[in-house]
Amino acid sequence: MAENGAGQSFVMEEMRGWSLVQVAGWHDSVAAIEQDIARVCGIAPPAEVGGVAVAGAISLIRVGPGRIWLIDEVGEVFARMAAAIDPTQGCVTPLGEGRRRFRLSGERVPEALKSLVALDLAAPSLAPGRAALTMMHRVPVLLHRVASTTFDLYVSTTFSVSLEEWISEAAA
Amino acid sequence: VSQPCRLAKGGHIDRSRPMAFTFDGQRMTGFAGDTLASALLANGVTLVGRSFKYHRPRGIFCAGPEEPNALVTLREGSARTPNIPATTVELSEGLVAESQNRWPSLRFDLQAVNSLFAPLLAAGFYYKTFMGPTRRSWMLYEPFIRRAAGLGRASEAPDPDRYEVRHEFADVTVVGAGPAGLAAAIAAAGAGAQVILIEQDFLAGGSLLATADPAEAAQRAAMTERIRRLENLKVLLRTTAFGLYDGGTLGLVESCDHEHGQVRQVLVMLRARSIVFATGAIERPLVFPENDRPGVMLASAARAYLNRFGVLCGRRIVVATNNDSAYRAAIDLAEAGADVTIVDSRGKLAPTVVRMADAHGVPVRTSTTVLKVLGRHRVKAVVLAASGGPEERVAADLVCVSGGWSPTVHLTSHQGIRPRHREDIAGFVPGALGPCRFTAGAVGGTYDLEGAIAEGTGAGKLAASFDGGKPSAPPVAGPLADSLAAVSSAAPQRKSGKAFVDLQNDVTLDDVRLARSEGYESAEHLKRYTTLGMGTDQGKTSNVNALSLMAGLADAPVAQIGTTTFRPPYTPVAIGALAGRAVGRHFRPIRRTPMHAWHLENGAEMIEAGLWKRPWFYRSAGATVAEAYIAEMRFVREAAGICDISTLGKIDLQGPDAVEFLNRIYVNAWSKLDIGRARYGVMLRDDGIVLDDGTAARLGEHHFFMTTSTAKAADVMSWIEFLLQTAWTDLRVQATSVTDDWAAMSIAGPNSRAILAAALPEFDPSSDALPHTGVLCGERAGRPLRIARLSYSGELAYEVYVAASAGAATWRHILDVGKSFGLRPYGVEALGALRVEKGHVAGPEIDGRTTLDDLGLGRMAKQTRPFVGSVLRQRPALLETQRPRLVGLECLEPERRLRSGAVLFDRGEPAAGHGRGRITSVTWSPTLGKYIALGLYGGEGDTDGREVVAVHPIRSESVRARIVAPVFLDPEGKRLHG
Repeated sequence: MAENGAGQSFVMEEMRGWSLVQVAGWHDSVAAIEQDIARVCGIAPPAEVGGVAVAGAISLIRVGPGRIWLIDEVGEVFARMAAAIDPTQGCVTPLGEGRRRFRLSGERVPEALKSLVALDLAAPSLAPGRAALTMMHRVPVLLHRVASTTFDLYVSTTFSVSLEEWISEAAA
Repeated sequence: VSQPCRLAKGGHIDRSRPMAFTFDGQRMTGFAGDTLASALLANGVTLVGRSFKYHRPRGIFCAGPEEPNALVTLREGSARTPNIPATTVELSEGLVAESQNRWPSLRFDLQAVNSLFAPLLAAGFYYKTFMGPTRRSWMLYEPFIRRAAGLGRASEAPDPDRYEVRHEFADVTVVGAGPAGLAAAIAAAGAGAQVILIEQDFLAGGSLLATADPAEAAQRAAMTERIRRLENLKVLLRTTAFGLYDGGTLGLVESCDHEHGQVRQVLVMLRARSIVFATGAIERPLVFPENDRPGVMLASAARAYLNRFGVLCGRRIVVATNNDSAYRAAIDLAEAGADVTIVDSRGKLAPTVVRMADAHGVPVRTSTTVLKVLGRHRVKAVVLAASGGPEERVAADLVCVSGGWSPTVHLTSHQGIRPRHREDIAGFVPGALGPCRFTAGAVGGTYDLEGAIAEGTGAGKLAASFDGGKPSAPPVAGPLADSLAAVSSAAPQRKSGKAFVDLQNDVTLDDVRLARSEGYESAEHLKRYTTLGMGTDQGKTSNVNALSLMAGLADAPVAQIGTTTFRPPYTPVAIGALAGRAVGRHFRPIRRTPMHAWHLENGAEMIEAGLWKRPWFYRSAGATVAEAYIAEMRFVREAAGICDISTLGKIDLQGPDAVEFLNRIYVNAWSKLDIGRARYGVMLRDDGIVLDDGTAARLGEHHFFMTTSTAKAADVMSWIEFLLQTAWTDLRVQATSVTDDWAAMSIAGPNSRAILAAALPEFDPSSDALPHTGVLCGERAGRPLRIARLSYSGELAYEVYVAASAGAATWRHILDVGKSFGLRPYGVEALGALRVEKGHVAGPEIDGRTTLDDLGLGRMAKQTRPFVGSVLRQRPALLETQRPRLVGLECLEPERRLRSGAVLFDRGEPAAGHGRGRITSVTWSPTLGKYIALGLYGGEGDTDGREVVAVHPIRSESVRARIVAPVFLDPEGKRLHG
């Protein structure tokens, strides 16, 4: 944890024990896939790119017009999802092995993020409960605003050590 | 006497906070709120620098960032920062400043002798004088010329300061916190917008800071107080907007208090929905002989030093003008106790102006101009003459000049919007701006205070409404604007002496005339021939005068001459600010494979491959790369080796149209690939040139696993996304990068099958179960694992892909089990050498210039179905038989070696030009006991066995080699098939 002179905190911790799969459909089957997701997860996927829907241990983040990320805090969703999707309608790709997830929390996080990502945190598109694919230090990341001063950052595993240091120094 | 030119009261300085500083080692004192320039002037310092070319003594000319003369070097040692205008430096305790471009001292500069050679140093002198007697003569002269002319000297040590980059967003951005900008910001914030107000100065107020009028001062105080109270308005002081870019992005550089631990500068990328440009105007000088002497100063600057800093820069002052604005300076200076005379080139003045001067006892000489300034290190007198009248010498210690005003149109012009000329104000104003862009105040030619504030308020409201359809606020013509009509700042020259147009670059009136007479008629040509408008100030005080002169010489309107192109940055930006924190180990992000830590712990020497760090070689195999890679090749050929190939691009491809997609993107056919088999593929760019090669394995009816080369992984993924999202939206396919999800390792060598059988008993690596190009999928310890029998080295080899988090453990396990079979790790140097022996092409051959046929892969291409690049690969130039084709090369000189990049010539052919081809990849072959290479060679006829000469011009080497088939090892593929 880092703290500035005004006593504002910045905490970065790695989240563990979760899983991530991407469910995607084709141009003519996205609606059907969304129904499959809703049936398995108990919640409809968000309609807009950047939207997030949460039901219990599962979060659905729409990362593209036909792509939805399913984040399961318990780690059971992949098998159920794979079984539910007709391969002629869509596909399921596990992506959790290739990502690390860092939770950034504290009063100083929004200010520190100004030097990390080119995103307008005051915009409705990044209100709490929204997400955005963006670049951090020229590396693609997904930033999910969990709450006003709490953000989950999904980082490619191979870049994660480098970005962890980059973020830590920005917060120092 | 301490601060002899400082008045007892007045100004926006804090006399209770003295600040010590040094200039050229001399200790002085100023006050908080001073700039370095105002503090120097307060201390009676008028000589602050030497000019660029002639080393003429120069003083302080302006009071802002447009300063051409008073450039100083700040700080010492590695923090040394040259070419900073003293007028922009906020005075701080302990500041160390030094004059520059002089030796041995500022007062006595030996290179001032250049003035004696002035006739030889006219515009373009180096193009004419230093071009002979031989073509290389310039190389001899250049260092001396550069040493004689120039600016300050930067430190060559690493920059000790820290920098940052920050992103900001706003509904409305207002550039400039003068009266128009303040009004715009207040109006926009009042309308509910989130506003950011940018000001390069450390105080807001602009021209209101330089006023002696109590009502105007009160107006400033009221506006700044209002701004302080508006919570949705953020003010960035000490921040310069240096560039305007696409999407409403402004590049800002914010100066910080780095002496007290903060970063020195922050690069702020500000994205705004609406922008109000309230950037003001810069006063123009007058051009007359010796107009560069210390003590010649812009009238607005003298007024700013008086009213803002409490510094009276002279006691006997001549104010030379061609417009009304200088009268306010003259009157303020007279009120402060100076003996002031106004010299006005106009014959007829507005009655209000005359009455104003009379009321303050300031004499006005109409139809009179300054013919020359007398004095060397300081103004002593001026020579005046009325139109057609006799010359008169008038004693003076300060000459204030005003040739009208030039709106600061730099930012508004950065996106290619040419400014337009307004004859009525003899200046350029912004051209037609795009949606959500507004101007207010002097930048649009509105010079009167009431008009500027009214425009600012209107522009602020429009900007807050986000109505992009509204044009910029129309300029309001005030009484002062009327009086600026059609003036020229350059009077006919009657006296000898240099009349400077560009003070920073020592460009004179004669230089401009010479350039014109030699045919340099466009503004762009004039700039490049004379250097006018170049340098750190980019001609802020000189450009419009020069254009006016050119128009006069061409007998054409100024509008016809036009301006040079305005480009960012408006003021210099430290390279460090552009880099921010991305320096040293953070210069770029580092990419690590799952086995990275193992490599480091086990003696790997790492090498960069793009952003990746890869094992180059292992010290256990040899002390140097040359030793190690040969040893590593040997144990791969004789036993087995394991190599980390996690860096390969990996793409998960799923969907009913996946086969169709592969058929389109690769040159070869995929329809008949069975589940559980992989195939080598090559893809082309649209233009028929090879993009990349790789493999794709069929895991299911609709499921493929593609690999790309390490170097092209990102390009290929982007290319695939582009095609699927734009050209082939009808295909039912999803391509997802899974490079990070899979660790990968290649186990190669005659013992590799036995090693896999022992290490991964869950899988059957026999030839029946896993033939060449076969693929097995399964799990190990609950983690997915895939084995593909593919070879890059020419040996029996397997690629093992495993879930990234299990990568390191699997690697260790296979190595432990394989130890008894002679398994050892090998690095990318050996990996590359092994593939050269086998004749496989890679990045050095797939270099963005080669075709399928060049690489000997033409037979792979489908004949019946189109694929990306299939049309343009048939262009005549790509089908020429003389194109260099892939060949192998054997070194014919045992004691010498071949080198990559060497140019190939036929034996007996002169070694000049591009030759017949080049060597692309080289290795020592332990199997063949000689240096071998791959190359591209374009000889005629049957080239096999031909002797060529490989010439390496940089090393001055010529080595004989023989052209052979590119596959050096096991052409029948016996090793490969085990």
